Amino acid sequence: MAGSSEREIQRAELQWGAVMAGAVGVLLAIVVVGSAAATLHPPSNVERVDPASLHVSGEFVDGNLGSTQNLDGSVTVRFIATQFSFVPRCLEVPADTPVVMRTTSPDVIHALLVTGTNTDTMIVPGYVSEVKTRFAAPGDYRMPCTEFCGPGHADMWSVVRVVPRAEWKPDADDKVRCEITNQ
Amino acid sequence: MALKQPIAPSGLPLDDAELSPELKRALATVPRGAFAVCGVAVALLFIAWLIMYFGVFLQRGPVS
Repeated sequence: MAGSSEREIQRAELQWGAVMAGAVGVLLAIVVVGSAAATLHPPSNVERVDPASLHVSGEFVDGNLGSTQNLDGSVTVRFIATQFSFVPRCLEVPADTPVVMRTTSPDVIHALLVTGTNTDTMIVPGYVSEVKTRFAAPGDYRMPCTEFCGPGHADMWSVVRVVPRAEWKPDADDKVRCEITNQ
Repeated sequence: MALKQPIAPSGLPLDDAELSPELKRALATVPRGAFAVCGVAVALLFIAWLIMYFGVFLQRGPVS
């Protein structure tokens, strides 16, 4: 046969295989190191809650919804995902501050995605979904429901309002709430 | 991996003697061309992945 011998071609294939294995190894290493260094991994929280009594007792009663500051300086924002709205609909958090988002559903499975960020989780009745994140830039971030939950699904969205840290001030009951205007 | 003899349009094995000098010259460096094409394609994919990971994904903030 003319040209490269069978042995040369086999060697070339092995060399290419090594190059590809190296490339995949580098990508995996970047993902592992990047995820550890930047705290990037899928939210994982197994916590039960009674979906039938959310509105009468416990963490998700109406008066406890909204944003509140924790002793360590982080902010916890609590809200409910229900057909077909997030309650409250506007969530105000400070910029460049650790934020813990806690939510659950009294009816069907929902999900959320804060557009322009990696914040994304399912919301399952009977469980509390918890997402830890940090918003770098102030602004209004749309937060739609991303799991089809019924005929009003398309209208189910809210806004995460990120304000400069100095402008974020809890009111008398230690909560921060906001209103959606011009949306 | 066993390589088969090139096959002529007639269906018979193509003998070295039947190859033109130009074809012999091209076949003598077969892996280099393949490496060039594969290398460019993979390099572009690799660069695109790095741009998406560092330029988009990491910029969207931490989540856990």
